[in-house]
Amino acid sequence: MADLVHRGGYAGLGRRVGSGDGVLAVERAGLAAATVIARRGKAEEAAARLGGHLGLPVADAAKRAASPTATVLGTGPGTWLVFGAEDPGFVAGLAAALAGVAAVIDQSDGQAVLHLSGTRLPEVLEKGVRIDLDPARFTPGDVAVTSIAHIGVTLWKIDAAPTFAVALPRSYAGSFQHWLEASAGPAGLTVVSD
Amino acid sequence: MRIPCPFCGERDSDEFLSIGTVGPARPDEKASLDAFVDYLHFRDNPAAETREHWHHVHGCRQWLVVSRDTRSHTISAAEPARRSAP
Ligand SMILES: [Zn+2]
Repeated sequence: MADLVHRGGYAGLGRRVGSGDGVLAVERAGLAAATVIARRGKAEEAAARLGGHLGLPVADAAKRAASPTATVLGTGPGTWLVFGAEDPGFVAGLAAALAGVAAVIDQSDGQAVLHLSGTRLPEVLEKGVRIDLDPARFTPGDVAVTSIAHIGVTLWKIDAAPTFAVALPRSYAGSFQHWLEASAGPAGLTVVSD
Repeated sequence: MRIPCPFCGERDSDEFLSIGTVGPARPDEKASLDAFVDYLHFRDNPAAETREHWHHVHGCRQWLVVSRDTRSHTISAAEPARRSAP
């Protein structure tokens, strides 16, 4: 049997549009990913065990907790989207740590992640995001599950530069990039991927 | 119209699916055909505050009970359906 090799959702889509200077989009390929869904009445215990396992302050809220090796995003009540280093043991480790309190579903082949930055990023996001991203309202560590151009996304703010990240089902990566190129073209866009 | 989701914050109603009024209860299985037709097809349409089920399908995927005035679309409350009485 052939060995399967991870291929990011944006593989082959790297390019410059316009000046290339306004927005920088860098694919974060090769991540392990999982959804964690607490069993009925176990949200608090699941948050505590998830946080304990990863060494992070995990809350049952639309917040991000992150270390150099893992990112936990609150995506719904008792529900988290978790990213880690590409390691076959990462998701299994989560499942073991959460046995009995949460369902853990491997999404490593299902998510595509971009980090977005650049001086023109805020005005570009305004064209597709319908929630208030004013720096006073949406601060580093905030997470939003919403849609951009009819594509369901998980959007989070990493720092005040601002740097954002967006995760979406990998088969929509090309469609999302189409929106990004149309919206960021006038500002200039560079997409970096494998 | 914006709905204040308890998990996500205020969101455009486009992100939600409206399911309809909270209740009525499903009739007993031995109830008459008329009772089932009424349960399935007929709803009141009051000019008043109503309690409705909305699903935040393009957000946190939580079911909400939304209190909405049908005359003004004023929403006075949105709470997780799991915490409210049926
Ligand atoms: Zn919500």
